[in-house]
Amino acid sequence: MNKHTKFIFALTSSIVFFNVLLSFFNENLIEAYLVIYVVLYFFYREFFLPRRKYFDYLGLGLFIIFVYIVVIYVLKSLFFV
Amino acid sequence: MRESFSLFGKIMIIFGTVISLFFYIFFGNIPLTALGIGSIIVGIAAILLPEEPIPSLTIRSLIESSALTIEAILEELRIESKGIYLPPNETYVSVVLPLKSIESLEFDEFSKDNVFLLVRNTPAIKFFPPGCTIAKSIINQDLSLDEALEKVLVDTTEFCSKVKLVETVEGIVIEIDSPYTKEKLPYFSKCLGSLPASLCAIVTATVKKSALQIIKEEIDKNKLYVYIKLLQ
Repeated sequence: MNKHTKFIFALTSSIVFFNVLLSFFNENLIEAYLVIYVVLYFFYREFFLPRRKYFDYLGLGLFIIFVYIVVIYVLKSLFFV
Repeated sequence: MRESFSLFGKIMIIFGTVISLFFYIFFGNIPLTALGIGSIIVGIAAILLPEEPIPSLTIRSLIESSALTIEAILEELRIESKGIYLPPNETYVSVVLPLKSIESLEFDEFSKDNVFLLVRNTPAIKFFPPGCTIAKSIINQDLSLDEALEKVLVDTTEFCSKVKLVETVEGIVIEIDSPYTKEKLPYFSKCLGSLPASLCAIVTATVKKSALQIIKEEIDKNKLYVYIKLLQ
């Protein structure tokens, strides 16, 4: 199994695992799932170092989503407590 | 393998889009919507994987087998002088190895096409180092030196996991993470540098279009530092 196959396999199985785990605990916030996915993507990207054909637009997009979620929750906690 | 990743990625994106929209709109089910989004992420990650027409292991093996032949010749001729990498001149990067160490060689004398040369009455051999054909493929791509090194050493041949460089007044210092140095080639390493270092020199000569020499190599834990001096 080359490293690209391992990367895809690990990412897929982790996403499924954490999805099942969070749904087991009745988690209904989509943001929780997205944050886990972002962390998993960056973790496996650094672990397997897969080659890319282009700039990592997926990583950039996921990072923007992550920052957006964090900012929203920080603002909520600052102004709605 | 690339085609299967691309197809897999497209299937995952379509599957993820359908699943997430269906379960969000009709059922308001967050876990399954999130699963669909996860499928889209995996699909895009699979599509972004690069082409891999020839496995990097095969390319490394071919380079090593060429190096073994050169090692045998260098050992037979007892050559221990440092080679000079010449930039490609309509063909490939070549290396000139004087049979004895000579200081301050004139490069005009190296432009001959001969394999056996006389440089200031000292016999020398000129040949194409292993990996020179890979470097030729980057000539028309207008890459910077660090992009070219990453493309050749990391993407194509996987001779290392990361490569960085610093250009100084004296030359170029290249840092190679986790270099692949399976074959022990003592004469090759002494004259041309280790295989990763030799590939660095070939790429540098191609991009900089300058003759160069590998001054030294240093190993520090899992990193290899290659010191290159540009000669023109």
